[in-house]
Amino acid sequence: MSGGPSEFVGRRPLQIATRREADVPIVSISGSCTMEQSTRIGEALEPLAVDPAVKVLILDVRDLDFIESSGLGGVIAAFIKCRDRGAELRVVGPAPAILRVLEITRLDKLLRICDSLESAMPS
Amino acid sequence: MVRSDGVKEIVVPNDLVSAKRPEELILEEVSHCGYDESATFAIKLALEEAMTNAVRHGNRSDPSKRIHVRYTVNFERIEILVRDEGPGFVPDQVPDPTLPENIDRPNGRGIMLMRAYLDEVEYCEGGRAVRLVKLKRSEGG
Repeated sequence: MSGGPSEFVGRRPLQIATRREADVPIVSISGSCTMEQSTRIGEALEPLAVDPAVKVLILDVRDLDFIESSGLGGVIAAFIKCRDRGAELRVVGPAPAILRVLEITRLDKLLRICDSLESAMPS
Repeated sequence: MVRSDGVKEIVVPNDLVSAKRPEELILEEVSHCGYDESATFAIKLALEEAMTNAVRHGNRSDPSKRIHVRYTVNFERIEILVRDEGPGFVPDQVPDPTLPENIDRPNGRGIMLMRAYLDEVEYCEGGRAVRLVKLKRSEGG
């Protein structure tokens, strides 16, 4: 993130979509996770995080350009629910700005972060 | 509202939708003053954290309370004061979310993010207000 003035940081609306590939649930979030809609991420992840049939839950953030700490809280809550029943939450493709947020908060040590969707899929 | 000392002030109701208005006004000025994308990200993130803390923790989601924001944005620095109408708090008593025993707590990372992205973060008025400063020379930080 560098360069000239920008009017557009964090102005794309948050969009969340869930799909399955090879029966693995993939929650894709794009745009900006801002304070007034930060609970949406947790709400999207929670039912999958507690589903006994889900062994790996993938969170695709490749098109996410902003997230604040309440949105991160929804991710952490889902991570804990997965971990506590032996499942795994994998995070795919954070952009440099998002990765820096994860590094500052040390969540890069807690979450499994994958470079690509392919590498996140269970083998 | 622009005060006689040039500082601008806006007061908004205590909810997360209304809390967006100061952010929009400040980011317009940040863009006008030529701050880069990294600095814009930093200010946006810090404002989101400060306003969320004011709504939820300071004013405890009380709809009868308000949030007061004073700010100056110029070509050298951005300075913002966010003040709630709650009882205040002691920042040092907030658990460090990076400690192993706290690492998986869903909450508590807002203050850490503000400190990481800004040049100055100072709590005052017994924890009811937080002063945020971003310097132009530290863009990218």
